[in-house]
Amino acid sequence: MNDGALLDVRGLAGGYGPVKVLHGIDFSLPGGRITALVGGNGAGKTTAMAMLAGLLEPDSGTIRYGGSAVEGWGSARRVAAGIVLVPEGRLVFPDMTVEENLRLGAINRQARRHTADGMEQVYAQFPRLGERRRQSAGTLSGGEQQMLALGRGLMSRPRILLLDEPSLGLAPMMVDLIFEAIGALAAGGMTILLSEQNVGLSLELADRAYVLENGAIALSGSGRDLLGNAEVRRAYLGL
Amino acid sequence: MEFLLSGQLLVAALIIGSIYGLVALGLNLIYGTMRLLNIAHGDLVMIGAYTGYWLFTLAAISPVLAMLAAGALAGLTGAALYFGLFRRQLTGSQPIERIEANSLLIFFGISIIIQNLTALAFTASPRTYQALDTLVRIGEVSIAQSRLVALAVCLGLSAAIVLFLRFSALGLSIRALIQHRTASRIVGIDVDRVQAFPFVLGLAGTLIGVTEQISPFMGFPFTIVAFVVIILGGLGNLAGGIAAGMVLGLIETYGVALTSANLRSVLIYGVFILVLILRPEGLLQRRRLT
Ligand SMILES: Nc1ncnc2c1ncn2[C@@H]1O[C@H](COP(=O)(O)OP(=O)(O)OP(=O)(O)O)[C@@H](O)[C@H]1O
Ligand SMILES: [Mg+2]
Repeated sequence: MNDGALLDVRGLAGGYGPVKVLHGIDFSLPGGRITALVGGNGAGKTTAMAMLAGLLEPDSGTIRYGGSAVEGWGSARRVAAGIVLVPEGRLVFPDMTVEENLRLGAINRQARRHTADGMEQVYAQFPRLGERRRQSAGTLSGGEQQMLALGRGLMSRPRILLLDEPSLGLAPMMVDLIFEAIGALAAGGMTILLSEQNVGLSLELADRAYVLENGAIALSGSGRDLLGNAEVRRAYLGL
Repeated sequence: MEFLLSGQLLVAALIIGSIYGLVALGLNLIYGTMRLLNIAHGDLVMIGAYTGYWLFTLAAISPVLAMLAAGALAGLTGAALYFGLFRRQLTGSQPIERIEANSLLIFFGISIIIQNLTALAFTASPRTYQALDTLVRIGEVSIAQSRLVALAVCLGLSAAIVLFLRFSALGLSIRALIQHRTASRIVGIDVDRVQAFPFVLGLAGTLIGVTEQISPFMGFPFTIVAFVVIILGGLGNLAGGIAAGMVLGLIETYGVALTSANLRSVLIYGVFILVLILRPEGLLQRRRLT
């Protein structure tokens, strides 16, 4: 057990039925910090995220959050407790308006009474969403959808944000905007797990990072250390 | 051809259409939220009709009250089916496509069981009953009270369900579930709790104690009609389905008036096939590029 960690994962293993993806991984998220989970395609980052969010049942392993073991909790309970996923591919509700999507972020009972406040904060962070509040989410650009997915996550009043590939498929300007928002959240004390293909950017931002290879942790260290690591530079940064 | 312009025919079409709309709304909710293909949907309409029949025949209970009883009974049946049969499957890790295929077979079985148990209990011969059959005159149109009640109940209930889905938090969750199951779980919707509602609500929609002719096998045509309507309106598009019910009611009534009652099924299947060929995403569904 790692003292001071808000979330602590030990021996997490499992996958999709007979397809075993994770083979027992350990990592922990210190409160108020950005932790990065990097690795190539198919390494198992999204799978790990899904297990943390309660979308996928692991075969074995423990997940401790604060003082409690959350393995048996369904996704609804985890969201209510503050573990919130912003998924890969955004998964906004396409035929609902921006505003309805945000309201759905705050659908759990604890967050629901803060719906109005939360929406104001999201619109302040992303004015483009405010301008498009009555537009259906399916008609937004990819970048705007990513803002919406992030905003929807924030509406749940998270204590831990699981960000799965927030910059995937976005133009550089939009990537900057999203990462700026992530930086601001971290500065405000949010605990973040960031999974990214954009390894350079996420290692720069992360206090601590884990490199996932074929479902196992191959390396870990501070973001800065890994940025300087020859193997990481060769395999993930193309240097 | 003058009779085509009569108010009488129009009212008849609206009554049929509103019944179709409500029955299909239930099917649409159940399919939309859980991807369960409820082939037994029409059989619950039949159970509702028998409830009305027996309550009236044995206890002289007015069809208006009987509708409430029928709705409650169908709702309870829905809850029993959900918690007894489908809940475990839906909360398990099976892919939703497999559940969809399984549900078709399970409901097919349920349908046959319900029909045959009913036939065993009440014989297979059709029955009719006369309740609320005084004619009401509105202008030049005269309608039986019972049909007027059916129209009011169907329209009222459809509107109430749509408003509930539009404006309540639970309604928002149900619509979210229809659009994207995984995203619904991600935002923390308690899917297991939420999807029990459409089941109960959807089947309660079968309360219309259709007063014409009652038989154990009257349900299947309703199932077919309900599928035609939700395909017309677009799967999962609830308000569209109600409008599509009206459209089908008009097509059927005027089509039969122009040709013959024997062609009713041909008309309905014809519409079904035409829509599937020409606009498989539904007549009233917006086209989306993605
Ligand atoms: N639903 C599924 N059923 C079966 N196998 C799956 C499923 N989803 C993912 N996998 C497999 O699990 C492995 C890990 O996938 P995962 O999505 O976790 O990788 P990732 O690290 O997030 O990759 P990427 O960087 O491409 O997003 C892959 O080999 C993938 O094929
Ligand atoms: Mg991934």
